[in-house]
Amino acid sequence: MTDEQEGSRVRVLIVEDERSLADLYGSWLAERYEVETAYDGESALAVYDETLDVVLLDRRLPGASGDRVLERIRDAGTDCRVAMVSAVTPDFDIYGMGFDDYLVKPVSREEVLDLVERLLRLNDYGEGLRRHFTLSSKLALLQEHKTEAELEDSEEYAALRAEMAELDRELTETVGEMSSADIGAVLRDA
Amino acid sequence: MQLEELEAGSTALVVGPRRERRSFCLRHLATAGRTAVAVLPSDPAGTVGEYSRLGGKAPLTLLQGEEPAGEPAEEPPGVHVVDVTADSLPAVGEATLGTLEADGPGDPADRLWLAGLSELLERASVQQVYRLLYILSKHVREVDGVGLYALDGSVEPKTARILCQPLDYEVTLAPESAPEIRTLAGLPDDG
Repeated sequence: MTDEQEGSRVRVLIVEDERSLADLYGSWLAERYEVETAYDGESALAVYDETLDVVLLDRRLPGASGDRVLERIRDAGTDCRVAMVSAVTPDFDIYGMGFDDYLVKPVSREEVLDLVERLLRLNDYGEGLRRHFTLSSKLALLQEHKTEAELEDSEEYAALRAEMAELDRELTETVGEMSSADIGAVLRDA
Repeated sequence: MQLEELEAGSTALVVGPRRERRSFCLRHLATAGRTAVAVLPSDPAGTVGEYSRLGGKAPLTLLQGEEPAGEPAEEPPGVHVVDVTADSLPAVGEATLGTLEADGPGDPADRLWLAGLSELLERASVQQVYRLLYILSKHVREVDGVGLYALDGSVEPKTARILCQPLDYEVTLAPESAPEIRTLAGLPDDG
């Protein structure tokens, strides 16, 4: 897992109407990440774009609610990870909500930092699985149209398989740290 | 290649008529030493009966959709039934992995039969299903188990070929014939 993804700083959006709380979260995260803050739902949607990696989202917000902001983010179809950080105790209405994690306030500095780390790890794993699928699709295509002898002689085919092996090693390191709930989040993305 | 049984630590795509697929997979499930897991079997009651008839001694966990065709009247001893939202691939994935790990790190389930793979492909993208097979296969290998993913003939060959990539074998079944087991390239570092 990396705090830096592909050379650019990870961007985290905090959406919280209690300004002191939003700023506190921001101070915890600012050492590691580029932090944006929004104090209501409409402002959050105005700030939101595809370059954001993680959103920490309160549910009770003036204007557009946190649940509505979440829907809009999911409708945008980006890879952004979203965690609800709310005083609202989860109820059955969370069924069907597209968040990746949920923390009930109050939350500690460590909990917030761990949460963002975990969400970024999910992103890495999801991206790795996407690349794995792409490589498999290419290999399957070649296997369909080439003979075994042609495949054995091909440097390109060998390179594809080597890339897959390397990727698989990377994914193996990550998967051991994941829970079944994490797996659900990764499967929802594809 | 002709093999009677798949060895521990391996995964396979199993293709063929429903009856042969079911028989082949249940035969492997019945060799479980710790726990066997059947995911979305079309006939849960029949699955339990045949598992027992084949000599299955280990506890059996059934993950079934909400409205299975043949629901067991009651859970027989050693059988645990888990209801899962079959329409949602992430829900199936979470429940399956959760079930595989349920006994704790020292004693995980060692036989997995994903019976409803074709149905999942009707409801989810190929990439989602690929991810599921990849993740489950990693787990199965880690615990030295056997993972079987059963596919009917309605799936395009191209899709089957993609889904095979992270697996060890492709098993083709036909009535009154021995299983044809083809070794796949598998993942390079799986040997």
